[in-house]
Amino acid sequence: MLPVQMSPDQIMEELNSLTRKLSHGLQNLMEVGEITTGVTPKQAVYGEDKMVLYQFEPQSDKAQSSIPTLIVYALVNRPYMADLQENRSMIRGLLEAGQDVYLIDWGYPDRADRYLTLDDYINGYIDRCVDVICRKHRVDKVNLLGICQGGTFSLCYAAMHPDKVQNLVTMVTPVDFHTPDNMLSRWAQRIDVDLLVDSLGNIPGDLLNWTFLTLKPYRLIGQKYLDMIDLLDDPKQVKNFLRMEKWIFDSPDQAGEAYRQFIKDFYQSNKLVKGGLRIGAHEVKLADVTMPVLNVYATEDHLVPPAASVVLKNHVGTKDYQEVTFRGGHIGIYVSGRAQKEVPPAIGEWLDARCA
Amino acid sequence: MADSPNFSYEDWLTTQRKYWDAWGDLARKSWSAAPAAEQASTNPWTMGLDQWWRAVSPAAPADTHEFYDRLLGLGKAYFAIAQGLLGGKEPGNIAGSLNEWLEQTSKAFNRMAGGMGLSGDKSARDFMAFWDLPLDTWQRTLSSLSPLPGDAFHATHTEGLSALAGDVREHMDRFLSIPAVGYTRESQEQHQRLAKLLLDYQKAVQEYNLAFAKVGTSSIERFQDKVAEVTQRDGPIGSIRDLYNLWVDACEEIYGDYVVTDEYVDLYGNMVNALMAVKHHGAQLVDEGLEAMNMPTRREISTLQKRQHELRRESTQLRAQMAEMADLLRTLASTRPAPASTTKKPKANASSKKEAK
Repeated sequence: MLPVQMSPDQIMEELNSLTRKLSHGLQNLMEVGEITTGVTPKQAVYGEDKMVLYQFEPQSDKAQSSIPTLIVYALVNRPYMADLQENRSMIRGLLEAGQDVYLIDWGYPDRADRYLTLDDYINGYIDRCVDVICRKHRVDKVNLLGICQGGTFSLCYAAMHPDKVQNLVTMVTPVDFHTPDNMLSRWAQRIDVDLLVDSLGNIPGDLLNWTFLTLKPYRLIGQKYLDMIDLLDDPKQVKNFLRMEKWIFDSPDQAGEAYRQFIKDFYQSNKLVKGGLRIGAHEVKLADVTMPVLNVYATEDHLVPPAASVVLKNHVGTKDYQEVTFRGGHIGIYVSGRAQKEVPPAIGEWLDARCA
Repeated sequence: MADSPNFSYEDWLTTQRKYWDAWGDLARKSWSAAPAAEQASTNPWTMGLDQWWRAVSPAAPADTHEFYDRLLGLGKAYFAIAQGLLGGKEPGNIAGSLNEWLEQTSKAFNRMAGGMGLSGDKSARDFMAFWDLPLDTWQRTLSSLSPLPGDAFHATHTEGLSALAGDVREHMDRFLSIPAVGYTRESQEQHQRLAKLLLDYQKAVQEYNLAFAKVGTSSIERFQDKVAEVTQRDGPIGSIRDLYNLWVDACEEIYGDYVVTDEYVDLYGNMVNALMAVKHHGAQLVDEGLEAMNMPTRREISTLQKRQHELRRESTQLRAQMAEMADLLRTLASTRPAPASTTKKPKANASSKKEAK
């Protein structure tokens, strides 16, 4: 059997059609207007340096949970991924599930923040945000929901301050950094992190972008844009594509010292599961995570392979450990239509059962 | 032009659409009429798109430029497939053209892996450029990290590696190791060091590039396997886009297998570390220049930032301790026994108090 069955005319028609779409789509691209993100109304309730703590406004009349939930996002990329647009907002989903939602926005660190350490981020900023929320609600503990690297931070925080965390939810969170399918971890092994940080000070967001794009370069740098040409006729699809594109390339620089410790202790030495991790004056032991834990992971995650997440159950000290498996990828878990229906309601229900 | 008050976007868009539609028809007719040899050397769609974009981009809003540049650049692999299929020795025998063209591309990969650089037909080169995307993106990223333009090293093609290998490289190393003397000894030494670090980085990039070319040959084989597999399962492939998608799948699989190997981890680490060594040494040289001009250096500013940060941390800790102490005092105050009753005491007691004094 012949492998291809195309006539020259068919090929030429296909090429013409693509180029037509490109030229005709220019109008939609020019009329697309401002790309907005972060759609749910919110108020800044606390700020320190470039960090801002936001509280989101309830979106329904449903009675709110007595224990507020603090979302800790990664330092990499911007947290509006969790509130991208009206019909793609994990935060809106949590609010609709009756949770009182707070979120830490880390801002864009610059040279003046180069010496911020993990201790400053976790035992400093996060801890003070927790105190602010506790005082505001007259409670002793909050629910902590950590996303990606923010999940790792939340685990560390919960291990160091178990008395301040009622329930812990980790989403697409790396725990074991040395699973064989973890490309990022493999690449980090031979990097001289001291030289990197000493040379660059802060780590440029562009460098991190390059790293993430080269996890699947042909799909993410090539195919994706060719697929985009097919969407150019539909202004709504164009806007959605550009919104996602904005988020992908909106990468803050990383504070040098925090990055140094994160790569050395987590990616290179895997201390979170092997032991010996110290953050500031505290030793971090996952066995000290004694509150209920819900671990949400994505089966097709190319940034945080499922194996890197699910080992959590073997290391935490709690007996109340559950998992939510989402069939999708690292980004789909926040923004896909199915994720909106599955993930926030599951988290809300799990939290409600433990906040009574 | 777009800023002119009399400029009408609608008219402009209509005109450029008409232009493109007419051009598309013309390209189709001229391509069919062109001899095979000419078809292999030119790709009217790539050329047409480039030309179209050059004509319309001055009037298009600036923020669409980068987006379209990217779309047009990345579409080249797609057009390369089409050109490969249309440019075979027997016009109309598309299956034969596919094999012929893949063979050429495979040979081009082998030449490149042997350090001989790229030659051969343009569609094979465009197709292979797609395989180079990770390195190409690295060069672009580098532009934002370095005072050197991103393509400063890319311009030295892999064929240059053979020239830099062996005796020549050794000779350059020896040349750069000549002891510096005299009044400017230290400065000479530093510039020699910078030149050596640049050579090390160039070598690391070229090794990375060569390794990719070697693995690239496997991507052609995987692509052929995938084409055979899909044909067996679903019948003949009927569109360029389907072939392109299979090429992407093949590239991702080969790439994914390779980049977790120890060899790649070493090459990647060497490339990043070598660049950082250049950057670090360059920053030291800049600092020396600044110092000579009596201006603050990066090193000094870093020291100040570090000290200031330590002070802030101490002050935060002290504030937290003070708050804890205040809490403690409040707790102590609340647990202290109630003050004694204020009722008058008997006179005898009063006299004894006096005695005690």
